[in-house]
Amino acid sequence: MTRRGHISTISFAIAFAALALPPTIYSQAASGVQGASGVGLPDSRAVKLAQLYNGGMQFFEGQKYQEAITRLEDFLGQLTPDEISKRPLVYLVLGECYYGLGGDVNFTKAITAYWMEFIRRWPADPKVVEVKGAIAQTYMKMKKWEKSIEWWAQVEQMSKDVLPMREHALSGQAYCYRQLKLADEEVPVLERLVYPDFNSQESAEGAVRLMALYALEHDPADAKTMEFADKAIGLLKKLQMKIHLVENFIALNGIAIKLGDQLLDVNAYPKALEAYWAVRNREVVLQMQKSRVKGMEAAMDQNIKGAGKDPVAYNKALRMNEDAIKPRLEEAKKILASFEKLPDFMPSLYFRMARCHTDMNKKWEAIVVFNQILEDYPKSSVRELVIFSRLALYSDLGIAERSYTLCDEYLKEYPNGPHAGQVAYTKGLTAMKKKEWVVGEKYFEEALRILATLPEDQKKLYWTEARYQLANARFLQNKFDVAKKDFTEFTGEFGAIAGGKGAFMEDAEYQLALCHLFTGHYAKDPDKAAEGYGAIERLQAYLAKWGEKSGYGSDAKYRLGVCRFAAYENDLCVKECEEWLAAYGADPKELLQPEVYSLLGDAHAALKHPAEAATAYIESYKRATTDEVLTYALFEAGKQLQKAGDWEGIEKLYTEFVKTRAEHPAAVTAIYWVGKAKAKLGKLEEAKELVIETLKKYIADPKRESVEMMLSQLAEWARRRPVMKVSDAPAPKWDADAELERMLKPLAENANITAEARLIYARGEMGRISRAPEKRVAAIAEIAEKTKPEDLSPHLLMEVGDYVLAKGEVDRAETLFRTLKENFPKSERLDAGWVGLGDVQFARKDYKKAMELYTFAIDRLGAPWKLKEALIGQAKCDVEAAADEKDKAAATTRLEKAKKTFEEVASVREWRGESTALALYHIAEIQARMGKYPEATQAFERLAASQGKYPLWVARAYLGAAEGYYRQGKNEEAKKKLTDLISPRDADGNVDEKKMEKFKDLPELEKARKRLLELGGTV
Amino acid sequence: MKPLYALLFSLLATLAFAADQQPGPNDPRIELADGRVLYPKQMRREKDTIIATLETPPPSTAPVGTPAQRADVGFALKDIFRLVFPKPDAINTAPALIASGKAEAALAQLDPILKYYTGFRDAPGSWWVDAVPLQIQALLALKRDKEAVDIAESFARLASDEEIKKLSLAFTAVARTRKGEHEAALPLYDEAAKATKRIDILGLIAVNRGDSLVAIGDALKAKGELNKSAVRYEQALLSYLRIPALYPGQRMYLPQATYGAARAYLGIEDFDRALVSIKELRENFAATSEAKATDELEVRVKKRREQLADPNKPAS
Repeated sequence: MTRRGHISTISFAIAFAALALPPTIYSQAASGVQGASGVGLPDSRAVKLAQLYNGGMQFFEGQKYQEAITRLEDFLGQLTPDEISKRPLVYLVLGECYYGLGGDVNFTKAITAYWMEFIRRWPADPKVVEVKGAIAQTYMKMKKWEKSIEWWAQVEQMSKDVLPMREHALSGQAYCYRQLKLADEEVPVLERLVYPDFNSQESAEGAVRLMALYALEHDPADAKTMEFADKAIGLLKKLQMKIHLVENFIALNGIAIKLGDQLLDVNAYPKALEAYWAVRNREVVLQMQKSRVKGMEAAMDQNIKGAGKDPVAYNKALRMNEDAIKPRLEEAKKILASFEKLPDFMPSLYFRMARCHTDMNKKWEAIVVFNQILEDYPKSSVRELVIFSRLALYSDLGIAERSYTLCDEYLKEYPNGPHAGQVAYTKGLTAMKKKEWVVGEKYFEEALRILATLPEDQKKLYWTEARYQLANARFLQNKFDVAKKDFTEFTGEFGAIAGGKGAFMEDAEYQLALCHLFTGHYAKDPDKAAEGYGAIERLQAYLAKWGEKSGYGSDAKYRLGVCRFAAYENDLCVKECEEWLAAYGADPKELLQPEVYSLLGDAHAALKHPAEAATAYIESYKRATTDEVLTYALFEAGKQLQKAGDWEGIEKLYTEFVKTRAEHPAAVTAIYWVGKAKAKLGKLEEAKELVIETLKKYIADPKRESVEMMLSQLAEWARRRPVMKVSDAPAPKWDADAELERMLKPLAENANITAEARLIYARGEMGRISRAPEKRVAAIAEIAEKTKPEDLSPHLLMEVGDYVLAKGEVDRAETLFRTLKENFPKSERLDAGWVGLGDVQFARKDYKKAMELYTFAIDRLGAPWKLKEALIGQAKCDVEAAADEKDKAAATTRLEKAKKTFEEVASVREWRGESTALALYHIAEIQARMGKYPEATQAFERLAASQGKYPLWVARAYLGAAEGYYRQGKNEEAKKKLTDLISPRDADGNVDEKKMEKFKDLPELEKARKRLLELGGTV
Repeated sequence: MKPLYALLFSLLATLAFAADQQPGPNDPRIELADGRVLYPKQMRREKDTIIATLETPPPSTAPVGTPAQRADVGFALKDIFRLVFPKPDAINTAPALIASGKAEAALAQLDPILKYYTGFRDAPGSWWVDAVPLQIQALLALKRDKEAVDIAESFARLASDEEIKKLSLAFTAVARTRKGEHEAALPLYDEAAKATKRIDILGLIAVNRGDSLVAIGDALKAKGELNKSAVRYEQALLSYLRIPALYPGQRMYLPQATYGAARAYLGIEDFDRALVSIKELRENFAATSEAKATDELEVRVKKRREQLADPNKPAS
């Protein structure tokens, strides 16, 4: 580009005039002189004019404006009007000179005498727009903002197609409005500058300013102004894309943070995050600013190097550096220096970002941010808060183990930190949320110890809560005695606060009443004054103090009924239930209705009012919201109807249930009862049909637990001969097996492996009913052989597990019981899985583990199916543990405990059978172990006499009795006992063939022979 | 703020200067370590040297019309502060294409860039280092793992700059992850993450490290080591969530991160959050392969949730 070309394209800019105009003026002047000389000899006027003009221009170039003005005004004064009309440039230069002199008087002169005159004289000149810009700029310098705006508006109008000039005019207007503090006027100007897009440094600066104004326009209290926040975010994003245009990105960073904070204040979390994400971290900003400084310094060097030895170019480069780059460089260095002094904003910015995530329920994302703060800024001022907030999030998320660890870490680092009390409390609360009551108790104990060491203001924040929660944790572990003490102390310590209605007081008083209830202390005993009030008085006091509509009102009233029932005050229980129903029964939201109706049913049942009891149970099951209550009430209703002999009622009850709750797991059992009722009502074939149809639906599904029960029922029905017409002809022989097969036939069609196993089971059941137990054993063996654990129902897993364990296949049994335990954790027979696994561990001689499993089955599952086996297991474990005890007293305690358990088993009428024999044997055995040989011998003798059905235990009892006699020094009795076993005789002294037959295959017989020889007897 | 008019002056002056003397800001240039800036007409790399074709303007004293002179000049990499190439558009557009399920189109755009810049490889300022993670991510999005592994390993081989070599650890780790060598990949990710602050690389590390951790978690769960698997799933989750929480601008990793997060949530049995992630993936990245894979994942999540709600349901 040539120098002339350059001049023609560069606008008449005030600052640049000194560089760009003088050579032009020279050339114009020269042409004028040459023009004059071309006519003839130079006359003195022309010479003088040329001298004035050239001198003026030289002084102008040298920035000696006063001298330039003197010459150029003299020059103008000597020109004719016609000559003046050809010298527009002189007006521009004079205006520039006055501007250069500075001061309002000179500025005014520049504007009015020369630039406005230029516009008046040469309105069509292309430089008019630039002159107007110069006027506007000068008014800015004079701080005459309104006037400047007027002129900039004209420039804007005239430069629609010249983007740099238009941007210049808009920037000027915006700047003036800003000085006038007229943001409402400034915004539309900046919008014209920035939208639809910005691509220059000048417009980018406008965008930064506009973003700041939008942020100010956004009023957190006014939702309508959210659009300004949106606009600000939009600009922020755009600026991020065009960061190379932004002169002051430190300011941009600051605005982004401020915008984010404003949005955070109004809970506009996603938008606040967008603002925060736009913030560059301190290192990046420092690096950018340093690069910027370095870049400007490099540019200055490059300018000088680029000019080489050319004096004009060198002069130009020097001016460029001094006038254009250096001020920006100084500014940039200043910004950098002040930025370096600021503390790092990133940790607190990250913290605010984490807060956004947390409040958006993005807790894991917040944890990520917290981790980042701790990783990048391990010693930041927000460290304590970050560590605390992070552990609180883990606690909220229910990640208990991590929460505990983080709590410990906090307390180690900040034992007296501002959140120490809260952290200690949170640790306990986390455990409570996870329903880890034992852990909760431990942690609340710790929390109380920690709180006690803290200053009073911190301690009191969580002291009450921790005290209550400790009691609550113990209460929830069924440690009612300890909890009772805790609650009593709690109500004593805080009872005076807030008129006795302070924090947790209601809970504590209510739970204290329940502690009395659950420890069997129902009412105050006048003979035991020290025990104080019982549950009834406390519940009544609770209702009186807190009202029937209080938090636990309906529950308290229901519990009162429970107390009456537990105290065998069944009439009063009925009364309490009826009062409850009157007070709360109409409220559909009242969740206790099913329980109250069940309790009413229980009370009526205890009063032997089966019809009323059945009615109450039916109401209960219809309202039941839990399976437990539904199942209980439904089948209790059936029992009461059965007691009332109301088989029609039973049929109706269960038919209705099956119709309305066909998919309920209890439906299969209900159908069983419908069938049973129909059979009772003489509709056996109808009953069979119903059960077969039901089985068709469910036999293949291992989850349906009542299928085995129905199959047993079918087997039983198969044995019943149909009612025949009265006839003289003898009834044909009834083939029960054929009848069962007839009924099983439709079930065998398309049977899967589960169904096949169940059909085998049904045939085995026929064997059981027909007193052919070997058939049943064979059936279970067949199932064990043909099926995999995953194909079996809970009942069959239990049966097959027991079978293979009895065969000594311990590992296989373990797989079966584990499948039951893990695949059917809600099964009615779940306890069989636990007890079976206990047996497995017992077989492996891991008595401790076995004891845990038995205990879990009893304490946690109630052992509905295997209580007897679980108790026996526990007792056997105690016996084995006693053998391992080194301490004799401890061993004796164990044995006493085992004996007591065996006695419990032996005493239950419903369990009479082989287990009784087993229990009796162990009782005798324990006595022998304790050295009580006479008692043991007698016990063995009693067993041998009473349990003849169980030859194994009888044989062992003989051996035990013989040993007992021997230990007492009664060798002859001992030998006789052994001989009785080896060769039993009847009362007449003849060989008792029956006994011989029973004992012949028992290994005990061989033991007896061996022992007899040892004692000197003859075999 | 400095007076606007001062800014205006300087702005015009800068524009004037730039227009008169210097190439535009988008012209390739070499910034030498000694502060000099050169505007070569062409550049190429030969081993550790950048060969620049430079044009020397005639001195101002030379007769008008004297042509500029051209010469090839070699600069050792160590003497170069950086090469400044205009940022290729594809570097900006590829992430969005990948995130919108158009990874093929992204690859097509990246191809010429990779061809051009592979010559410069890891010379400071080369866009190769930026283009390769995009290429790998596009290939992974297309389930072309084998090719991604090849690219990752080739990056590790070709890098010579010490700083870039550190980045190559991340690529080596990605290759390990894709080959199923998850345990071996983890320490490499950790080392690579310490070695860089480039968020595109940190994003690449986050999602692929997450994939390895989930795979390890799955294996532990299958072995019944539930506590150990839960730890791995949690680590995976925290790794994936770095993308939305710390590098939200790395949009191309979001589908993989969101899908991975859903898997990790399933692992720690936070079903609600797993389903929210699946929903987000379907709504925001519907065309991606990850969104398409959510059907099967959703079934697994719901099945497991039902199973826990009704424990009588046999484990699937």
